[in-house]
Amino acid sequence: MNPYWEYVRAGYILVWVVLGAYSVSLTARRREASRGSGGPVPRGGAGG
Amino acid sequence: MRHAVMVGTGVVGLVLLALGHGLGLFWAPTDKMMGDVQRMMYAHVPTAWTALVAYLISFVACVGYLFFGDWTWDLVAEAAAEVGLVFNGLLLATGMIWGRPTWGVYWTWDPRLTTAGVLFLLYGGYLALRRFVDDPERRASLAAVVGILAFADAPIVYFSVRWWRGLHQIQSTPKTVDPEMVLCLRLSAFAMLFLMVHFVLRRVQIGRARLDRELAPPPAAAAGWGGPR
Repeated sequence: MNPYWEYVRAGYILVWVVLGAYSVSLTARRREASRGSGGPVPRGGAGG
Repeated sequence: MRHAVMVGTGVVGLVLLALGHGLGLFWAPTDKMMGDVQRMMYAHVPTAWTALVAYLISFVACVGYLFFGDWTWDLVAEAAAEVGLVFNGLLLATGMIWGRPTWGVYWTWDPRLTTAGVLFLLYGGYLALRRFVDDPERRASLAAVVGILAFADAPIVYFSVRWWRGLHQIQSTPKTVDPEMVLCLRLSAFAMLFLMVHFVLRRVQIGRARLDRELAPPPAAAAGWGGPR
């Protein structure tokens, strides 16, 4: 097998994993943003 | 309607990406000079185009916010910058993976690589700035100015391969590339374009929900209590 295929495979896997992970993070952030509408909160969370 | 567009762009993007990548990996002809490693092109080049288009959208939205002052422009600017940063990161990472077997190094201070790296840092700074400013109006105005300045690097990235001699090759045209390669490249490029729009729409939703909470009156004011006298 052509040794360069390892690089090609790594590149394609990276693209799919990163785009998939970003999609999952958007779903989680959407849920978090729409949860609890108890008035204004400081940016970056309610801690501080 | 908006939900249908969001779902539609995601589904079409995924199908086209699977098709473009699948054909690029197993159907497109092998490059005579670079061999199979050239197949990185179908993953690498579309990330560059998509990142630049996302940054262009962010730039237009920044100008739009300064002119019209509508929150939607600010939300779109933020969303497109973040999505552009994701594709910019993929551009750098896939470029490094392609560079190692081709040039012998993962990274070199070639003008194209350097300017693309600077673009990544500029938009990383733009998003960091947004997290440091609490007042929504001040944040939107400052971010719009920084977003416009950051975009100045985008055309430099594009033309860097023509303006300066470096390791990175200049842009190919369909006339110099095998038609089967062009097909795979276009499929992957449209796939990422659809996915970019899909992600921007979803990110705008998140920004709007956060902004609504920030702009909402405090609970005491909302309940009609005027506070201590």
